[in-house]
Amino acid sequence: MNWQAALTEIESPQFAARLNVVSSAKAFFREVAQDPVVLELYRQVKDSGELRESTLDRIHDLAGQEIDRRYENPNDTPLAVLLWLTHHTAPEAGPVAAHYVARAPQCWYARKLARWLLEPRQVVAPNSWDGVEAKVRVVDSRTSTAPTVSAMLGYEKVRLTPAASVNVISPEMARYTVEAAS
Amino acid sequence: MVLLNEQGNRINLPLATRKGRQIPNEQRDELSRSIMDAALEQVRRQHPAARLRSLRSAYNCMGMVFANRRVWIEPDQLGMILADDGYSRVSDERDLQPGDVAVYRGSAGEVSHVGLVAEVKPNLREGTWEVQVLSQWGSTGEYFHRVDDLSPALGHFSGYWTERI
Repeated sequence: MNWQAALTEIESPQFAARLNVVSSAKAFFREVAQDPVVLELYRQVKDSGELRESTLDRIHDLAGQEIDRRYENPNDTPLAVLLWLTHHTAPEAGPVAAHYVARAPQCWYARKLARWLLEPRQVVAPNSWDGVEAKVRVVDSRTSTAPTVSAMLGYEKVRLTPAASVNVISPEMARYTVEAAS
Repeated sequence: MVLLNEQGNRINLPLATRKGRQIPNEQRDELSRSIMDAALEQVRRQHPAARLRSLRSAYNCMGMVFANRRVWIEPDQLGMILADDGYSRVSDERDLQPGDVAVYRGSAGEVSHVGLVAEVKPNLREGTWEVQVLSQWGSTGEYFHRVDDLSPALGHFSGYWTERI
C-alpha cells in the first residue's frame, strides 16, 4: 500500500467508523497505534523527509476545510491519526501540526491530542536529573478571552536542578518547556 | 453546533455522584451520516446478532448508563461512581435484573466499556443464562447484544454490578 492509498484509507468513513467504536481517548490512540494501515504509514513516513512534509501539508489542508457545523468535523479521525504520526516521526514538527489541528472546528480526538501536545504538564524534576543538560523549548504563553496562545521563542539548553519545576511536552522525547515570565 | 464557554472549552453538564463528587464530562457533536452508516454496516457484518437501538454519537457508554445519554464520561471514572453510588458486585447471573450494569475491561485491566443488562433468560438446553446487554459502542450507536458479542476494541466482559439493595 503506498502513501496515497493509505491516506485515502484513513480519510474514509469506514476507517472513522472502525476507530470510533471505542469509548475513550486512551483506547482510541491505542487502536491507532495498532492499526495496520497506520503502521504502514508510520513505516513510510519515518524514512522519508518528503512524506513527513506531505503529512504536515495534509494536516494543514484537512484542518482548513469547511465543515457542516451541525456535525462533528468529518476530518477528526484523519487529523488525529496524522497528528499522532507527526508526533512520533517528526517530534519537532508536532507543535506546528498541533497548532493547525487546534484551529480546525469541532474536532474530538484530534483536539484532545493537539491540546496534549500544546499544553505542557508541569512536573517536578526528580533529584536524579540534577545536573542533567536538557533541551528546553521556551514558549511565551498568554491567556486572553481566547484559548491560550503560545509562541515558540526557540530552543535552549538548561542545566536542571533538583526539584526544578519544568513542563513536560513529551516524557519519552526528553524535551521540556519553560514558560517565559510575563 | 457545539457550545463553548468563554475560554473556548466545551460546556460540561453539572454531574455528581450521590456523595457529591463531580463527574467530569464533555459534550460531543454528532458524527456525520456517512460515518454512522459505515459504522452500522460494520456492526451488521461483524455482529449480525446485535440489534440497533439508536444511531447517535453525542454520548459514550458511560454517558448512556450514568448521564441519560447526554455526555461523554471517561471510563476511568467508573470506580468513583460505583463506590459513591453504592454499587455492589453481582456474582451469580441468576441474581441479575434488567438495569444492572455490565463492566468490560481492556488488556491492561482498565475499564473499557459499560452497558446495561436488558434481559436475562435461562438457556435450558445448556443449563446457562443468556444475558442481553444494551450499550453504546463508542460514538457509533447503541446496540442490544449478547454480553460477550461486541467489538474486541471494547474489551472483554469483567463483571456485573447493581445499585439495588
